[in-house]
Amino acid sequence: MGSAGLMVPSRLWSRPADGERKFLFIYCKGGWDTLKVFTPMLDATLIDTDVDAVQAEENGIVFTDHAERPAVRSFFAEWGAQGCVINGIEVRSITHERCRRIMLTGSGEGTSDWAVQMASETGQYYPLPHLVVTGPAFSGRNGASVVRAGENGQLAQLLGPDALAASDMEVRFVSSEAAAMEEAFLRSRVDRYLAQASPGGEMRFGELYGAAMDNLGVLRDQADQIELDPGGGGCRRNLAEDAKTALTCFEMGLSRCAMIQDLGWCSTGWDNHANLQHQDLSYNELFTYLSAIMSDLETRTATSGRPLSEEVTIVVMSEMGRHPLMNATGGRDHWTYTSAMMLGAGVVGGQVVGGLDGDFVGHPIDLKSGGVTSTGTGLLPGHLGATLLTLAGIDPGTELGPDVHPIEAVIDP
Amino acid sequence: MRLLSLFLLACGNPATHDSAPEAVVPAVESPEGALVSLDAPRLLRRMSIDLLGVLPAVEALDSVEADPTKLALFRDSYLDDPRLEARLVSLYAERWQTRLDDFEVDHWEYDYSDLDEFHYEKSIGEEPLRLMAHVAVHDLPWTEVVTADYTLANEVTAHIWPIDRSPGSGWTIGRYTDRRPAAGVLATNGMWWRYVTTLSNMNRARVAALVRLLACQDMLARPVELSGAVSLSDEDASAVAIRSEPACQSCHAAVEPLAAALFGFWTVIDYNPQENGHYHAERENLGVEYLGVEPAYFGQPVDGLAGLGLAITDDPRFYRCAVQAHTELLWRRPTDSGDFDQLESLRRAFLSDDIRIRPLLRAITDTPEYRAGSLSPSATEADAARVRTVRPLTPDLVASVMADQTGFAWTWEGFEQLANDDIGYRTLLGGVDGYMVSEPQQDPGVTWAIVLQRVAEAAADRAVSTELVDGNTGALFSRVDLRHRPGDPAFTKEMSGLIWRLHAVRAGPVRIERLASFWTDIEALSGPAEAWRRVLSVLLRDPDMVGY
Repeated sequence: MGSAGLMVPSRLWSRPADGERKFLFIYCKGGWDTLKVFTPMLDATLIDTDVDAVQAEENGIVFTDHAERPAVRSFFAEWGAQGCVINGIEVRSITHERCRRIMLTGSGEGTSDWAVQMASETGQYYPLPHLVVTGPAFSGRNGASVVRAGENGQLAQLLGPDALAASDMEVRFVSSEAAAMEEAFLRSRVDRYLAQASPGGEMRFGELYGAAMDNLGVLRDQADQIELDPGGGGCRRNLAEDAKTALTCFEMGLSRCAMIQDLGWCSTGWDNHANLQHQDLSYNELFTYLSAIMSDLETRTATSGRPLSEEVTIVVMSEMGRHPLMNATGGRDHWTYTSAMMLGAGVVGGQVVGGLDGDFVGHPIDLKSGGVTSTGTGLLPGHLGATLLTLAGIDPGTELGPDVHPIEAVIDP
Repeated sequence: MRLLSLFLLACGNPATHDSAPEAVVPAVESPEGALVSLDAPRLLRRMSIDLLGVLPAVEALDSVEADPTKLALFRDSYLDDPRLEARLVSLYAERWQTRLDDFEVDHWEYDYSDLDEFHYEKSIGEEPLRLMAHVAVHDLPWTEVVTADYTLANEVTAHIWPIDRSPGSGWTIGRYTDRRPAAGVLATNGMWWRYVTTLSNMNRARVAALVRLLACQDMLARPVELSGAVSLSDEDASAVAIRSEPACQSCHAAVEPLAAALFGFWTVIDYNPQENGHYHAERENLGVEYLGVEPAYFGQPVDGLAGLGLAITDDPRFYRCAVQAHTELLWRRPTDSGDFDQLESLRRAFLSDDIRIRPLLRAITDTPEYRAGSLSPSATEADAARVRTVRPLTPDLVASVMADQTGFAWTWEGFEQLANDDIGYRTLLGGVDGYMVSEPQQDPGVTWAIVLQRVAEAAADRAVSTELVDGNTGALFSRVDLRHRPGDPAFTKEMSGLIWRLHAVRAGPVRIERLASFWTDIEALSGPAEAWRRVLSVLLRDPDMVGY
């Protein structure tokens, strides 16, 4: 087959449907202890659980309740009807880097993560297709779709008038009008480069360079309305503020996907090989923030005119779970089974899908009903990905192959 | 020989952009049919960037333009150039990902100030990379990478770790004084400070890194198939299963003995300079005790860490992996089964060249894919998806090219701003941080564009202020001063000379006229210095500049 006509990315600027679903990913870095909330296994004899914990239910969500984590109960009491907990997802690794990649891409290889795949579906239509406020992104061959804000507000700094003040060598530019003229000149030059580009890499490079400049222009125009540097480190980091940035970009039609990273209580991380009580603090803080995020979402309107909450799906996840037994240092080591929580648009809320057995190994489930069955399917990150892709209107078979199906029980038809 | 002659045949004359009337000899189709080579000047530019991290000299561009057969001579001179070593460090960093922004032991533990933080972290991360680059540029057999009884050390690593270092500034040969075995990068702190383990992991994660980097086998890509017969929550039962269950043994039969060989680097106290900085010879035998196996490399018993290094050199995968890794770094893409024939050819050449890296680099730069600048009409969809005919400058390259051409180095508070993500812009410009971002970005994006804009602005200001405003000698401006105007022959020559130097492209009159018009507009607004700044900034961000 010849190459003519193959070289132009066919979806570079395709227009999304009105009211297209958007996705906010909240990644809890380090591996959360699902026993603390999502997988109450209080009767399991081979599993160490909190002494004072009880199993509770709010709005159809069964969870572990504990006085140290009151925000969890509050959250499910208010928002549980919109949430679906998915238990027993087997990551099949126990190293952070590998699990992070598998949980977000379904694969150990160089593929794009779910968010990047969904953001890339409409190519460069969105100026900031996948906004990484903080946290990981696996771009694969879709690097142009990923916009990183920087862990310490670097993108905001670069957009600001003093971007070059942070340089040991003094930089002197005198005219902002000249800067605008430079942008216009370069943009037309990129067009001419593209017009003469040979098929293949030059054409792709020119197209994406032009798109990047256009999208950068949009970002510049709107930058005063977006807090790209929510700021705060350590105990001052506020997940709800990070989410606000993402939701603002959704509201303004700038992004389809966004990633924010939760570093646990006071940014100490979720990787508690010791000091497991940090998980109590981290969960309590996380659910406090989640309540704030859901409340924030309720107040916003999408470009379609509909409530933004009808268009945004939130995915809360961690790269792995933690061992059912405490270790000698008062923490828990890594575990291959974890949980995820989906909230909001397109999600059948008020339910828990999947589960774990007495050895803390995931049960197979019926993907249609979500019920546990010995003849069902063992949940893998790919099933979560297929569910998300389906919610995004993308055929998961195209991306993941014919054998990975969505968890239909989660999807609100 | 055959490759070289094909290589020379495939180098055409330079393209002329924005100047259709001046179009010259078109590039020649590669023998394979799908790939069309860059013309000789652009190919020289690619080689110079890839091997030295800087643009070629104008004289070299002139030379290969006049006689494309000279290209091989320049390429060979690049392979002899001292700058190759630092460039290889950058390339290896992309794959080995040891240049982290944070390590478990912080700089203040050694009384370094925050202004020293970047240099501290960079030094640690570069230790194994420097050793590999040293082996490469000194034509030592690649096996030294895992057998060397020395390391490379600079002022920082010699200060924080027990290393006796040869005199001299920067990186020199050094030797650890803590009785660690001779095992090349396997015996460097820089390697194991990046690839850490935990008390319970007992070096297994390190094994995965080691096998991936040196044998190109991804053990972690193998799915964990649990039979259900083992209670994973029972630590003792799990330990037994690792040694007996077929599903576990399929990986752990190799992992455990390898992990057992690494216990000299196993630490029991976190975040401790003494604990983390020293090799613990007294712990070498703990692997046998804790893992229940003797050290071995895929079934072959080894005598500790040094024996492990030697066993790796007996593994054919080590050589295949070296070829694959260097090819991927220069082709700018992962290889796959479709590349088998080409990789096999390179491997045979590597072995016949005494497993030296410089001949390997030479051979890779002779491959049609390395030379490719575009696709022919017969290219397939698969060709289009795989081959990188235009490569964006990586952050390291942006930094080195801009510094070389303009004198601008973006540093702030001790940090190289294009080489970190604490306060800098490495990943925003498409680089890897070795932790959250593990693949270089291959396409322009929004943050790539804004970082590039800022770098170009600053670099242009530096060059214009130094050379035209202050009147110092520099690399870029040799024909004009601030009194020259469009229409002056010197002005036109300078403009076309800049494009030739920076892009390796002969600009036609239309393009020069456009730039002159742009210069005039800015000059009317802000004067001639600003006009040159903006013109140069545009040229530094041009697709022909930032793509190569």
